[in-house]
Amino acid sequence: MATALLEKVTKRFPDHLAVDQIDLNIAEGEFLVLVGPSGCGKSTTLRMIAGLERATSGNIWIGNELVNLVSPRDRDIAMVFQNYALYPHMTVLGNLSYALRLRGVRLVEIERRVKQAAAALDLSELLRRRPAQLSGGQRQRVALGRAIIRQPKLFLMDEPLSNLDAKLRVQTRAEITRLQREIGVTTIYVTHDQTEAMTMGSQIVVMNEGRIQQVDAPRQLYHHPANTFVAQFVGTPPMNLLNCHIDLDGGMLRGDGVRVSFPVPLLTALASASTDRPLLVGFRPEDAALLNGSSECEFEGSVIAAEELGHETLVTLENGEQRFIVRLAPALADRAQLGDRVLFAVDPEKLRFFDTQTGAAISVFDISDQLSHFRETRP
Amino acid sequence: MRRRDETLAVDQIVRRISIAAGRLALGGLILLLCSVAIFPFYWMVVTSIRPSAQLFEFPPKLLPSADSVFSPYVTLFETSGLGRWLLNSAAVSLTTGLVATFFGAMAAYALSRFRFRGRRTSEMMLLLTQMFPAILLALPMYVVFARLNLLDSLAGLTLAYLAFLIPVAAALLKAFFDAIPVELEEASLIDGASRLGTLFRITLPLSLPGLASTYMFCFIISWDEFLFARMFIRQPENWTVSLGLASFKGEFVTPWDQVMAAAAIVTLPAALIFLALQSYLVRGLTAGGVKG
Repeated sequence: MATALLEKVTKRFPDHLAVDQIDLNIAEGEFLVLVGPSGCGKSTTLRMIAGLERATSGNIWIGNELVNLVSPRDRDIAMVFQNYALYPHMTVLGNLSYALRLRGVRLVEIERRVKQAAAALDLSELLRRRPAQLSGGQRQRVALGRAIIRQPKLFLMDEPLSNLDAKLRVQTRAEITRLQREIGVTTIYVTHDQTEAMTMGSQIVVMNEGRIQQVDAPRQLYHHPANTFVAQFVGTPPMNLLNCHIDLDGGMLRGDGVRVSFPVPLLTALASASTDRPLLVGFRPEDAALLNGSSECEFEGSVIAAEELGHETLVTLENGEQRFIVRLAPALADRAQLGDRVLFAVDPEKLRFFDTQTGAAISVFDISDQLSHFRETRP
Repeated sequence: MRRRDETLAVDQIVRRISIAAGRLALGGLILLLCSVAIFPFYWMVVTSIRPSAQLFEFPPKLLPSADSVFSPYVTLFETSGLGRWLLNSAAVSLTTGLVATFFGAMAAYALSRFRFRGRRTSEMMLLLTQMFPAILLALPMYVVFARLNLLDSLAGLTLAYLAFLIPVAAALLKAFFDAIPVELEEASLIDGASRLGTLFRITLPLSLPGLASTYMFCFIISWDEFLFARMFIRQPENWTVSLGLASFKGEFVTPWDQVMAAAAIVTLPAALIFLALQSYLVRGLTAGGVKG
């Protein structure tokens, strides 16, 4: 068990900049997930922590040791690869015990630990088999076993579930989370799948184009994205983002399909925070509710698609250039037929604002206080 | 209903017959190709045990004659230096195979796994060495070897073969190393092995088929080689088998039965090596290591 610290770590390949000056602090026992689209630098970051790739600049600490120049084998880490990387000429037993044999652990001890790991991962019956004779899920478990048997300082996992089918993936996801909690080893997990990130991580690092976009707990990430990239990357379907402009005189935010009445101080704050008047207003698909009558916060559009998922229906609406998606209970879906013009209300506290140009979130001071004050004073 | 059943049955019979015919045709073709490949060897053995008087009979007899003789084999070892030449060839070929495979593997591993300046150029150079006609290099090499006192010695001949075969071995083995997923080595490095430890514990065991076929290739090339042996070796006691075989062709008579007997003996080791290593040539050893 150990902490890990990355200071201004950069990796430059001959033809491109893979990781750009990232800082990261990983607490002891934490399950940290690096997530982002392919090519965002998450795997390179992991490989630098493993020592398989040397950082162009910056420092990497594991525990209290600066490991920039330490070889992978002396970093006391274990890694699970996307394609498992089991040694094909060794049995499961050989694969599990390889690291211990290299370290000259006593035979009795090796036997004890192999038994323990095999029992934990349900591999006891397979110890004499070779990787070629195992199913995908079994190979995956051997790869995990090879990591936990070491009792290392850090677990590194590079998309370990992406070669499994959907059902097995959900199962193994839970298993890895359980295992990590039991052993309590600090874990860094790389994935491109935001669902995996949300369900497994205690902290999530969203990366894009070699830079960290946001580091936060899953819920915070979901409800308070730091910029439009995170807002659209996390959540399926992603957060709706609609263009609007501030109408200070009318005390409103207006845009195609957007009509939001806001207290003037709040609007002024928004206007001064945003570098230019137009801005993006965002809300999650589940935060919109069908509206009868009127509301202080209205969104309107005509239905262009309705996707029935059984437990919910995703309705896509269009208004001018803008599109947004709302999540409706199946019972309510009938009220949003194809071509209908439908009105939705969103709780103003659930609205998020972003700068049109930089994409950064605009945090307005204490939005809920302002709103309650506004409601009380309104006739 | 019954009629339909009957047509179905007929269909099935026709299908079975056509499948059987296809197999038969394929089998026949394979047999034909095999016999074309094997016939020269068969003829060699049959000729070697035919009494000398019947050697040039016309029309030739395909089957060995009833009064076959094995005396050429005995005479060979008694009168010529064949035993000595076999030993010489064995020493040269086994050493060449071993050394070429070893150094070839080292070079191939570096070319396959490390990124360094001049890597692509070195790779091209490996192929370039194969583009010169051997005779073009033979003369300058002769001069150099004469200065170094390496003429007329088996060590010198081995060195000459190595100069040609190490690049070939490296090129062959690089393809094998390239096929081994690099993650296996990374996993081993993280598990606690050094680079060299990983090479010997993971990479080389997984490339056994490649090592075996490379070794075999080098062995057979140096076993059969004639040009360099002819140029560099003088003394009959230093001859390799290819020189020995050629020496049977006399100015006035060529004892064909003995030539054929010697050829049969010379072919044997190459065939034995092939048989011994063929089980390693089966690919698919890396199956199952990566991916689901």
